[in-house]
Amino acid sequence: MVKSLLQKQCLSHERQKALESKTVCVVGAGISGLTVANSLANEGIRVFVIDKNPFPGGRSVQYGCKATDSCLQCGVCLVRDAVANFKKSSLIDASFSSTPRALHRRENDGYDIEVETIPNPIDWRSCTECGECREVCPKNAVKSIPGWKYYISEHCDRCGKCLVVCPVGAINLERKRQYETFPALSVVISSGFKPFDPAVNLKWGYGANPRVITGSDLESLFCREKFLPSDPELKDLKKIAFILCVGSRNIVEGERHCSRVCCAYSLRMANRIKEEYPDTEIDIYYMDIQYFGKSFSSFWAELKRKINFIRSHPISISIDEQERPLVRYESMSDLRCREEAYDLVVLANGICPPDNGEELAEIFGLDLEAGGFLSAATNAASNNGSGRDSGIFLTGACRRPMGIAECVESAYGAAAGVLRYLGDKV
Amino acid sequence: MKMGRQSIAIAICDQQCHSKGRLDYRNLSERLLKSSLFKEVVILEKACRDRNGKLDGLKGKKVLFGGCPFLEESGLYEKTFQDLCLKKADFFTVDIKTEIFDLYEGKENIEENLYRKLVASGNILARREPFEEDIIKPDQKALVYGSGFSGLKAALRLAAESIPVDIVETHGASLSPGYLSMILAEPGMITGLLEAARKAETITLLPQKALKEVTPGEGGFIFRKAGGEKQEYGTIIFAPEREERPAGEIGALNLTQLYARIGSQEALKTGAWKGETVFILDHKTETGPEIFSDAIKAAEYLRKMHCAEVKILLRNARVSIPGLQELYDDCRQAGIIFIKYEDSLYIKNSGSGFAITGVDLQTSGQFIIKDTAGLIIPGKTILSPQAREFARSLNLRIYNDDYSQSDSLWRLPNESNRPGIFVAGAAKGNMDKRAVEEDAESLVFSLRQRLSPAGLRVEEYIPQVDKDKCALCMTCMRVCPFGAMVKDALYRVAKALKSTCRACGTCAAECPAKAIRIRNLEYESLISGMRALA
Ligand SMILES: Cc1cc2nc3c(=O)[nH]c(=O)nc-3n(C[C@H](O)[C@H](O)[C@H](O)COP(=O)(O)OP(=O)(O)OC[C@H]3O[C@@H](n4cnc5c(N)ncnc54)[C@H](O)[C@@H]3O)c2cc1C
Ligand code: SF4
Ligand code: SF4
Ligand code: SF4
Ligand code: SF4
Ligand code: SF4
Repeated sequence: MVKSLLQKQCLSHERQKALESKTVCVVGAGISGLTVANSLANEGIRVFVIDKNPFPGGRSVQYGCKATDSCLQCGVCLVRDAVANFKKSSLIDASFSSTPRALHRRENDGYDIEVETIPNPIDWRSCTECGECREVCPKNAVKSIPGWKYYISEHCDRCGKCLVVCPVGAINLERKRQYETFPALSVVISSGFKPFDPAVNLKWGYGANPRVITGSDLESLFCREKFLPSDPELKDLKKIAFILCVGSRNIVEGERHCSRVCCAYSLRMANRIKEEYPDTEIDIYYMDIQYFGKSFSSFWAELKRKINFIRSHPISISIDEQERPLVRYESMSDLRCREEAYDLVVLANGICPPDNGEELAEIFGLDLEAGGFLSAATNAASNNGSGRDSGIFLTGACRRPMGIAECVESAYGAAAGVLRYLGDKV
Repeated sequence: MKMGRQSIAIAICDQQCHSKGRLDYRNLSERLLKSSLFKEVVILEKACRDRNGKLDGLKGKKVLFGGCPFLEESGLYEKTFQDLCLKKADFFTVDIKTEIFDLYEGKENIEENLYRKLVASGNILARREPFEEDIIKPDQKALVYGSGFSGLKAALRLAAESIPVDIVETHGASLSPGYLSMILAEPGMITGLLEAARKAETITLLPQKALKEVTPGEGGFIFRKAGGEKQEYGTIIFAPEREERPAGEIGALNLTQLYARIGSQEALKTGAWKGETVFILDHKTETGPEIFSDAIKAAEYLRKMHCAEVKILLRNARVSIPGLQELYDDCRQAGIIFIKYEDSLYIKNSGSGFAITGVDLQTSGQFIIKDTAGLIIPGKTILSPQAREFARSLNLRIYNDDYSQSDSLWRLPNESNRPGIFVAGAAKGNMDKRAVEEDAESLVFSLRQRLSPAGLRVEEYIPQVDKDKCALCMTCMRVCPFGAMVKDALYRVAKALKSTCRACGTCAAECPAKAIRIRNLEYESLISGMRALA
């Protein structure tokens, strides 16, 4: 008989024990993956997390708080908390810098997941976060993530200085590709998205002009509590433009869908910048502003007073004599082309389906939706993934564009699905 | 100790308190009574001098006194109590001059505010004591309020977890626009769900008025059924549908009315729909993506089925729901005319139809639409009065714009201000079909997290108030979304009720004296990251 797992009190001791010996594998440790892992661990279930980054938190751990004197509900702190909880939990184990390569169904139950790992030189389990390695690195290759340990990025030239200073011997510069196999009863895929890369289209001048940055770049500045690039060459940044819908809502230049988050993060970041540097002038180029949150109307009305909204999707960005980006756009008021020079242009890049979607779909027997996001249409039993039959669940931004709060919600749904699946098994 | 609604008496002095004449006491007591938060409200005017008459009638009852502090100091109350043989503990003081007057000036929710203040001051008990987490009994029946899409989904989902469910049927009288748009998009879908619910052994459908009066139970919610027998529920899922307000222009239809006409095909063929139909979005309020989606679906339907020429006037295309951008593109291609307007529109009903004037954003020129027979303006969605009443009877808080969750990030997707009551569907925010389905999933997990003691490690995050710094301004009490902050009258300091506090951090950030700390986090770091502590 299918007994509800919700009725925890009714669980017999043996069943509880049986559950605890089960392992669930989570692929991708972004906010969605971490939420699934943490909530399952809270239920006493072992979780194994695989992520191809050397750190947990995915994209959004590299974003920053956008609060001015009041919180703007951007949700970034939820990610920090999820990382902190993840660090504390004894039931969660993880393998970083790893990707799943194959999935084998076991005879009796569950799966074996083959994982390929190219370990980071710093062993995250031993690192005590003392920061010595970062001090000595001549290449600035030692990086860290808020609330997490250190890792070494690809800029490392293997000089070995850090090796010597590390008090716990956590560093090993010999990175050997490893293959391991882990058993899991159920798998949750939360492999996230890919931010749109405006460099694919020369018209934005992204990559060529240091004064053109993306929303992702600005987020990583916010993450370090800087609100504008502090490069001395750029000097005073007095006039800033945000261009919305870069790579979204345009089938020719990017994705057809609306990315759902870029209006929200751009407006919040613009608001924060204005707060920090009141005499900057900010223009926002937009097609439509999407509604976000229940306090949207008042937030927007407030913002319209401080920031200039221009309804137009710019045609291109060139450079003026002072090497400032020159935004060319068609003015709605007289239908003429205009040019406006800025000190900084932020391209609000949207959410694209992941690159590795096809690979994951093949390994885990999933489908790709028309847009390229993952779905589980063929064997879908529950909307949060393939669910009951296979025990493979999908959650987070790999399914469709969504913000952090929605990811959390979706992750709870997937966790509920996993619990039910496991409950049926024991 | 359990207590039902209590009687209160508010003693008013006519000497020191200068509010007389500005406060309409009779009105106040009426409002307090009508709020059904109190059993009996007695206003004792001139309490300091005239102590006969009314007071006698109160003898032997549990009476709580309120009155201005000057009276307390003058010792006049003591005397009254002696007369009535009441214990000192039975009386409390409300500073009439400031608090009641403030409350009265605040106009909106004075009843609830006063009630909250009284509860928070520890002088009267909340109608139901807060439930401890472990008292929620999952194997007990759950009550789902609302039989819309989200209510039915939630009920079926709970039934799948083998939890018996009662559903209070809410629609019928008023069909919400969301509900109707789903019928339009997928005929029979809701009926299918309803059918499934009817068939399920563990689900019972109750008519709207079947449940009466709530009384506090031992870790559950006890209702009295129409027949008189009692029914106890372990948890309540609040999933009412939302109603749409009227269109706001005389003669215009809102979406609900439009769907109703679409439903009864006849009304469309005859009458209004000979000429063109105009939809106006973002008029007065911003239109969210769900309503935008409903509107363009209806527009497309009209265009196809009735060959009506359709124009949609809007300021922003809210396309952030998956698939909506595609639909929007398709509609434009199919010949629906979208006009983005600037600022506001001027609408006139000239008898033969509407004339609409506005400024086209694309061309900056004025546009005039004349003699439109059909004008459709989606209204704001609100809770029905019955749903409000139900929420109020449960002390479930309703925030701005009639949502049961405020705009801040909630620790669990479906929690409400009361443990044991969860919110689902449109009570949280407008939702499309997909979101409702996901919501039903996360609901199960919200419930479960709430049940598992490990799920919420709140204790670590309970705010600590520094007694020396606290000015007892009770700002924290006002801002706490869960009503967890109370005044510890004995030690003259604010404190958080462990059972109610969700460690959201709001109090710490708002405290003007910076007296509140959460764990070791100082105010500054709170601002920069801990506002929505998880
Ligand atoms: C510029 C920008 C700003 C944003 N700002 C906000 C904001 O302010 N507020 C907000 O709510 N949302 C914001 N968003 C959206 C937010 O980034 C996403 O909602 C969120 O990151 C999605 O989380 P996720 O866990 O689903 O995916 P991700 O964060 O992408 O995490 C996925 C994880 O899976 C790993 N992974 C992927 N493939 C594999 C594989 N094959 N094997 C192993 N691991 C794998 C990745 O390494 C990654 O760690 C923003 C998005 C962008 C682009
Ligand atoms: S990170 Fe975002 S949600 Fe958290 S406090 Fe800052 S603005 Fe608010
Ligand atoms: S020196 Fe070693 S322990 Fe210290 S931060 Fe670096 S890796 Fe970690
Ligand atoms: S080996 Fe050298 S370059 Fe590489 S991280 Fe260590 S110190 Fe930096
Ligand atoms: S969220 Fe805003 S900026 Fe992003 S794609 Fe949608 S409309 Fe464009
Ligand atoms: S807000 Fe601060 S000072 Fe005011 S009562 Fe609360 S803790 Fe005390």
